Amino acid sequence: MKRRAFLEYSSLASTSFLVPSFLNHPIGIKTEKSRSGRNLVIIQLNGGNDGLNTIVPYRNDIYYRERPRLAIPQNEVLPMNDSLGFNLALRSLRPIFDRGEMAVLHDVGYPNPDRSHFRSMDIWHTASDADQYLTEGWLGRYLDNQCIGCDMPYHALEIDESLSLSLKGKQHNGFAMQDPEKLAKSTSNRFLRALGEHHSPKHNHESVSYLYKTMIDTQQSAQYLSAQAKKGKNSIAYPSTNFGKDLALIARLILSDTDTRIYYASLTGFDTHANQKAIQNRLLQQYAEAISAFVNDLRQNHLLDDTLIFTFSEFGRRVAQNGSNGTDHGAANNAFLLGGNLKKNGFVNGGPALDALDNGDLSYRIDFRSIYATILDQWLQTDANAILGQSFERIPVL
Amino acid sequence: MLTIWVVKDYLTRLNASYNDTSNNHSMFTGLNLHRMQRLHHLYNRFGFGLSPEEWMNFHSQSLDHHIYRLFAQAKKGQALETTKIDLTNILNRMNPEFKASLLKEKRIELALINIQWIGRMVHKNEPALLERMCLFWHGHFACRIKDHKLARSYLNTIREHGLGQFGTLVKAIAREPSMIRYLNNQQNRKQSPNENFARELLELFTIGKGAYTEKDVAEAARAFTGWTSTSDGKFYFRSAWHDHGQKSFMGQIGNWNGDDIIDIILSQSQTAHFIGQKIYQYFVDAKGNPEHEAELAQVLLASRYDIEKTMLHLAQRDWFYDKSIMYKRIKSPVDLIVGLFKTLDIQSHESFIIIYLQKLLGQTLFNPPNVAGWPGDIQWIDNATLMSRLNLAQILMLGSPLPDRAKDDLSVSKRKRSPTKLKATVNLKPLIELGKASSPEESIKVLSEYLLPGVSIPQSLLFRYHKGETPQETVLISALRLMSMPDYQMC
Repeated sequence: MKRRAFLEYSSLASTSFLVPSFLNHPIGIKTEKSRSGRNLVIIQLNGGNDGLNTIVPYRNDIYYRERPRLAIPQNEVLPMNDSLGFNLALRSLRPIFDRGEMAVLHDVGYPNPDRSHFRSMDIWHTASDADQYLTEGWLGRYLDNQCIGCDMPYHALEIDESLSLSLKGKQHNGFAMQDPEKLAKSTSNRFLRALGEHHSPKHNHESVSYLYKTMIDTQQSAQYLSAQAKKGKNSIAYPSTNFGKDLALIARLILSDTDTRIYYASLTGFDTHANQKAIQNRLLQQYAEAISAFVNDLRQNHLLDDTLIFTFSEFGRRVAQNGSNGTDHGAANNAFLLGGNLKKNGFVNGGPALDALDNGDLSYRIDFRSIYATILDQWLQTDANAILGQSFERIPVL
Repeated sequence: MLTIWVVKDYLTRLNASYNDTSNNHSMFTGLNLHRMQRLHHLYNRFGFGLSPEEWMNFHSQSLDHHIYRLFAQAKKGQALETTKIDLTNILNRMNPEFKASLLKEKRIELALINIQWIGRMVHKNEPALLERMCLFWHGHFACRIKDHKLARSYLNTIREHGLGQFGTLVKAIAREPSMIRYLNNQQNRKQSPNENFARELLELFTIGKGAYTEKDVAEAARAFTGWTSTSDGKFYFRSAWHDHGQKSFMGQIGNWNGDDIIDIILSQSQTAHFIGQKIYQYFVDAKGNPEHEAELAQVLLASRYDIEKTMLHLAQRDWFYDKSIMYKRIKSPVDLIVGLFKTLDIQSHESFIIIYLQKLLGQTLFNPPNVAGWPGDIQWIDNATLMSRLNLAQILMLGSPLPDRAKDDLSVSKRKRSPTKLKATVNLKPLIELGKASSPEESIKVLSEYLLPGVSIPQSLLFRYHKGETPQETVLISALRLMSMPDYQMC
């Protein structure tokens, strides 16, 4: 059905004949196309969110000792159990947490943590070891190896002007789009459209074929995606922030039954070395209000059970505050899973292990690749080990 | 429609000073064209392509002449000069707020070096081969640098040794403060060795994975203990931090220091193979070719790692000019930007266009993705970068708004979505001159020989919508359309 919808907007009957020969032999195992209809939404908090002031260990002496001016006072915390509470900026997530639609994982990280934003983000994007350099992202490798029904270029869609490493594979890439209208405009050149329609790949070098294929995919996807975005209607008002608009767009695409299974969005500015409180609270509020609207929108449309939202940041921050009312780059951090289909919810592995610090940093208790492995296995129903190249313990949340 | 508007607008402005419509014919036929393509290929890979004027004028000399010219010119490269204002003193005694705003200045200085470097790649009198070697080594000894002084020092080091002895280059890089800081050698002390630099030296800079053991990494790290930099950006050997004891590295035992380690690595023939392969895959074909890579390795070994001799050997190979090699590489963003600046003879531009385009297309100088450098080849291409690339020539002419891209700018707490205006003043006289011909079809033929060699041009599509009303319009419309074809991304 959706395939037909796609073809309505595409000027070509099929793009498969354009695939250069080297793309016709995907590595890995392909099984039957499964239409689980499940959506994965990944939210990246850029800059290193301070997890300790997000989910506050409001009864912990070490927390208050290390942050004499930055710790959130007990009376300004929204208590969620007898040791952990939300930063008040997250208050709009409370009803969702109380319904069992949110799981908080503490002390997520990896061995030999890197303190560079870029390097650490690369490690998260590629699911590599800290001393390993990979050029493909974990979701890119999913598209390359295991993904069934991924012939659509927008199977994995990032709401941004450019594509993150996460979504870059060897043969397949995700698709980047900030705004469907702008995308449509960038592909409106009539000459290039005509060129795409008349292109015959026969005698081309494979790199040239790859360029043509990407161009044609983009032209066709642009029309399809902008039509889908118009078709979907949000049933809830979203905050008018950029991040709110991004999530409203993702919701519209999900509501119009778009053939995209993985969505990727990000919120930037968490690198709070100075005067952290005001900056972080504003960002957390933007995050919570948009996520809350998104979750409520999907629940109202009975799509929350088919949706999993994963939020992470490249690292947490040091436990001790610094001299300018901020925090410097740290190591392990918390991460969130939200959705209507969680096997476990709440504080799945307790709170942050502040009594077992490594040189002033939280040590990881959950390797982030365990979360990836769990998502790949349990949610995307694929062979996680083949994609991650190693086996990681699964977390019983999905 | 856009194209025609741009072209008409441009020509209206131009017409006052330019009114020559005399006819011209394709100047290259058969054998000549093939010779010209070899020359073009040489300049694409050993420099940054040819401007329309160079394309028209270079044909009178032989390929050998131009090889000689490139190598002779490279000897005349000048170091990048230091900026006149020294901010260090001022920075040291000021309140934090003021400092923050001045740190921004520092970013401006870094941008100025970036722009200066690109300018040298574009300018016809600068040593193109030297700039190309610098870009190659920048990707090889990949280093993220924020401080402009360190960036200048790093760039001048690869300029000085980029065509010299590889061993000298590696030893100089190991002393570069930017590299020492980037790979944590600043923290490498006898009491607590940090292996980061030693590991990348082996894995990425010299011999490659699989040719050394973990023990070798640990021993090499010990030899580099105490190689640090001072706060004002100079190399400094801290003897008290150095492990003066005996090390056993790659089977050789001695009181090795960092230079000894580099000498031992270079004495392994695998290092020549690794570097030969790297040169081949960058300058010739990303897919590699074991036989030709081994040939380059042999030259490296026989010449004691003389980079100039190796590059000269490469420039003189027949296989370097094979049909399967010429125009078969995807342009890097820097190739594309510099190429367009040359082709459109961009006269003036807002200086930050250059930085902006690098970010937009995914290759910002002094900011490689990680120590492994830019992956390159089809990895440059995704749907977003491709559409920017295809529209780029038009965008530069139009000064049209482009999306803001703040992805790698973490300091921005709110992603700005206000469009950036790109303004460039182009000079299309050389292109029009080159494309002048007796008929539109002939125009396209001449233009495509220069812009899209070896590509069969869909003539009927080119003029399906608008042919242009004057010969000049025709030339420009054709040129812009040819430059928007995916094939233009190859070099």
